Amino acid sequence: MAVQPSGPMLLGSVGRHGQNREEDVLVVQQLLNTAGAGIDEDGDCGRGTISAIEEYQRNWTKHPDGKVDRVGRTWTNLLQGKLKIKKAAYIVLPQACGNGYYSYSTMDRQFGTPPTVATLIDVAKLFAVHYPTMQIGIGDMSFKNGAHMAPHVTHRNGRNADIRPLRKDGKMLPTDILKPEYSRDHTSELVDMFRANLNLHSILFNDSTIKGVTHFEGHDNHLHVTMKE
Amino acid sequence: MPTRHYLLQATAGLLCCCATMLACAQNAKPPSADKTVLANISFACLWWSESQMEGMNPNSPPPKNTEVKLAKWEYSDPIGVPHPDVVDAIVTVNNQTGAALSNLEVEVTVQWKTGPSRKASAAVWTSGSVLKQFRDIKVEPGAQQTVRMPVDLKKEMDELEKQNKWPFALRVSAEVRQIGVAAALSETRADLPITPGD
Repeated sequence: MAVQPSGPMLLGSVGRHGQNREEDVLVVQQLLNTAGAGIDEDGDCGRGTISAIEEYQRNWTKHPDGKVDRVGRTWTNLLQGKLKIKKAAYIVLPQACGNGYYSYSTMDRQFGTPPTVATLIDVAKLFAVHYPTMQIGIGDMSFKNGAHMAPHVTHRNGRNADIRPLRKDGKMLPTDILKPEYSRDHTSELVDMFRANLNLHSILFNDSTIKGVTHFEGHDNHLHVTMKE
Repeated sequence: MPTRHYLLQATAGLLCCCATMLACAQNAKPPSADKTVLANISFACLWWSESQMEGMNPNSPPPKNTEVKLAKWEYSDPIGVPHPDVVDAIVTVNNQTGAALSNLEVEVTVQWKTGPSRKASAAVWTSGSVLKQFRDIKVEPGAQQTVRMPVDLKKEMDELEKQNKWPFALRVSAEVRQIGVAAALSETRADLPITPGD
């Protein structure tokens, strides 16, 4: 039987699908801030609080559930106060246009792990060698601190990047696989270049004639590229 | 080979059109055949034009100045696909009676299809709430009159986000009535699917 450390008590669970009594949420927010969360202490269990719980749980699991139960590991650790939230060491994708890529998302949404950023730059450079008049459009990646990037579900771990399919006219504009300006050939070559990079984990994209991509709803107009690290 | 390529594109385009028409047909509630006052609803917002988008610096974007019709709200490209904070619901009333109509009122209601953020299949429609009533509308024979009202999508998303929910669709319904008469001259509704990013 687990022995509860002395200190505050929860009357109900807090976090995702929790009971979220205001007094309990406030206590959890205070303890999370002690661990370095930097969230509002307002008793309201919003996305920020749940995200902070998840980040805290990443100390011991890769699959956080974002919930603090009355009796459980998260609550016990919070009370003990030994674990701190590890701040993600993400770096920003250089915004310079002309290195084989351009950004179509704001700078605050273009942070990634150093290997992810390096992979994007490497692939863009390689693409520019073959197609000097074309540039790769890079969109949302992650926030600097890995916070929830609404309305995305993912894009928190610094290893995701949205990339526009290439166009036949080379314009820095969106397109999708059903549009006449969509260039399957160039997009396929881009996919091949990513696949040749050892850091690539997967690509979600809906042109299933291209080898190495996985069909996923909502990916007609961008490649969702995930890196290993 | 090029011919085959274009045929494939044409087929894909045709399928897309058919799918869109089918979706519209499913969303729209067609008025009865005997009614001669017809109403329909569309959605629109201001967004960037293609010339504005090309080479745009996303950190310093120009004002959105082009009205676009929306078939859906989708966050799949921060610039290229419209996903406005506020969408205008536009109700168009067509008078096909052959006589001028006056003293009309249009009552617009909204519903949201809400559910857990990651589970669209569990989303359910909320009960409708009246967004606005427009009164004293006049429509000449053979003419049409439009009324439009903003619907704040962002506000709804922010409210639901606190509960880890998402509005998967907006439904706008409109009833056109003669003021003081209970029976509607025309009823219509339209849905705007709201798709978050992955």
